[in-house]
Amino acid sequence: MISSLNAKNIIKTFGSGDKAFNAVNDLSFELFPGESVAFLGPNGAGKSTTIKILCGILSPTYGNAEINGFKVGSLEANKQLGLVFGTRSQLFMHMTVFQCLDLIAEIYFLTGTEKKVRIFELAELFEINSLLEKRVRTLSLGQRMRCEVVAALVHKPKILLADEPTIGLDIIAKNSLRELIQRWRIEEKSTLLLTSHDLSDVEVLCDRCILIDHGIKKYDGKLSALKGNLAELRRIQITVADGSIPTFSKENLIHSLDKEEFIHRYEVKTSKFAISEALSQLSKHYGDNLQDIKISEVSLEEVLAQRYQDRS
Amino acid sequence: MTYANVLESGRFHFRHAWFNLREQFSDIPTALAANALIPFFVWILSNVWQRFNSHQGNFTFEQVIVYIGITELLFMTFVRAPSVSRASGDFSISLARPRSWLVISFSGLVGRSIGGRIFMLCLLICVFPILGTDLAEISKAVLRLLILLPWLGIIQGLFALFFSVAQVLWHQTNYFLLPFGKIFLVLGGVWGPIADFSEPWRKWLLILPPSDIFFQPAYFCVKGNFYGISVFEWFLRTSFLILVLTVINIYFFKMAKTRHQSYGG
Repeated sequence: MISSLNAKNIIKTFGSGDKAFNAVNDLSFELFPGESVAFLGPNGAGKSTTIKILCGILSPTYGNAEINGFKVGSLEANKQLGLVFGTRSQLFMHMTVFQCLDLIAEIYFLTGTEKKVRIFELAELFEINSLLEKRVRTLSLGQRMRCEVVAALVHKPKILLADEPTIGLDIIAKNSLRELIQRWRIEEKSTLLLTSHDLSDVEVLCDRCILIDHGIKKYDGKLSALKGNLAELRRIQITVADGSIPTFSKENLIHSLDKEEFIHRYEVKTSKFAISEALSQLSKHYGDNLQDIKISEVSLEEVLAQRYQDRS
Repeated sequence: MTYANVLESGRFHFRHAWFNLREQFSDIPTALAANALIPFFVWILSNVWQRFNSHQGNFTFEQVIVYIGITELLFMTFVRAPSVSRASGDFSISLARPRSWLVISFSGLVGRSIGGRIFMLCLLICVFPILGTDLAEISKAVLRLLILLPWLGIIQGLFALFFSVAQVLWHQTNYFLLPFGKIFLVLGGVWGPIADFSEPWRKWLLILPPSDIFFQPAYFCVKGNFYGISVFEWFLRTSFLILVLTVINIYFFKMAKTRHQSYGG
C-alpha cells in the first residue's frame, strides 16, 4: 500500500556551533490512507517543528518526507494537504463564509461548478448551510471552527493536519466537531494527523498514536496499547457510611490506595484478580456501610502524565 | 510554466485583489468611524495653506481643497500597519499552500489599497461640495484619480510588501512604519503642493519618489497634467520605482525564506 505520508530519518537542527540542537532527531514514520493518528508529546518535544516540516513550512536539515509520493513543500504535496489550526484562522473576518470558502478553493485551483459543488457538499456534511451567507465575525467559536475545517477540506486533501482543532470550544461544540470530523473521515476515507493536548479529542478520533519527546519517537502503535500494563488496572472508589471502618487488603490483588473519612480507594489488576471477585469481597467487607461504588480505568491523561514525568 | 498556468494565475490574483477590494466595503460603519476626521483634516489643512500662501500659489482655494483631499486619500491608505501585519502573518501558512506568498500578498495589498482609496474617494465626493468645491472640478478630479488608481495601487502594494517581507525577516520592522510614513508625508507634499514651495526645496523634493506618488498624482487630478514633467516621464519614473521595489522584494523574500528556517517558523 502506498503511504499517505512518509517521513524518513528527519532531523531538524536549529542554531549552529555550540548552540546547535536537534529539535527533531532521526524521526521516521508512515501514515496510510484512512488512518487517524494522534501526534503527541509534551511542550518542546518537537511536535510543532515536525508538523511544520510535514507541511513544507520548514525544510529538514537531514532526511525527507513525502505526501502521497510528492516531496513535502512541493506544489503537488501542498495540494494534497489540508490544515486546521485551532489558534489561527484562515477565514476573513469581514467576509461571508461562502466568499471565504470560494477564495480558499481557488487558492487550491478549484474553479467553476466543481468548486461550488464541493463547497455545498461540505456545507451539508458539516451542517454549515445556514452559516454560508453570514459574515465570519458574527459566528460563534464553535461555528467558526466548523467553517475552518470546511476551509481546510474544500480542495479534497488526502491528509488533514489538525493542530488543536477544538481549543477553546465548550463541550457541546467539541463533541459536535469531533463527530463531524469522524463523519468526514468515514465518508472520504482520508488520513488524519491530529495534535492536541486535549486527550479526549485523541481518544474519540484516533486509533493510532505517535509519541515523541526531545525530537525522538518514543512510541508508535495502537492508542489502546499506549497504556501498556496500566490498561488492565481498574480503580474502585467506595463511599462508606461509617468513617471509622478500616480499609480492606488482599495482598497483591486488591491494593488500597488512600483513605479519606468516607471515601476509600483501591486498585485491582484485572489480569490477576477478576473485578467481579474484587467487588464481591469489598461488598462483604463493608456490608451495610457501603453507600456507593465507582469503577474507572486509568485515563490516557494519566498515562501520558506518567510518561512526561519520567522525561524530567 | 505554461501559458495556461500564467493565465490561471493572473486570473486568480485578479480575483484575490478584487476580494480584498470588496473587503474594504464589508464593514462600512467601522470604516466611516475610522475616516470620520478626514473631512476635518482636509478643511483645516486647506485653510491653513490658503491663509499663508494665497498670494503666491498656483491653486485656487477650491483646487487646494481637492488637492489636500486627494493627497490625504493617498497618504492615509499608504503602507498601513494592519495590511502589513496581515501579509507578514500569512507568511508561514502560505508556504504550505500551492501559491506564492509574494504574489498572493501583493495582489491582496493592491486590492486592499485600491478598495480603501475608493472608499475614501466616495467619502470625499460627499465632503467636497460641503467644503465649497464646484461639482465640475470634483468630477474631473475624481475621473483623473480613477485612471491613476490601479497604477498607484501597484506602487503602494510594493511598498507595503517591502515592509511585510522586512517584518518576516527582522521581526520588529513595524516600528519603522510610522517614521517612514511621516517622511513620505513631509517629502510628498501631503500638507501642501510642492509646486508652491520655494527653491531650492521644490527642486529637491520633485526629484524624490514621494513626490511621484503623492504630489504629482494629486496635481494631475487637479490640473490635468503633471508638474514640470510629461505623463510619459511620470510613467517612466514610477515604472523605475516599481522595478526597484520588485527586485528588492524578490531578493528579501528569498532571504526571508532561508532565514525563516533558522528560528522554527
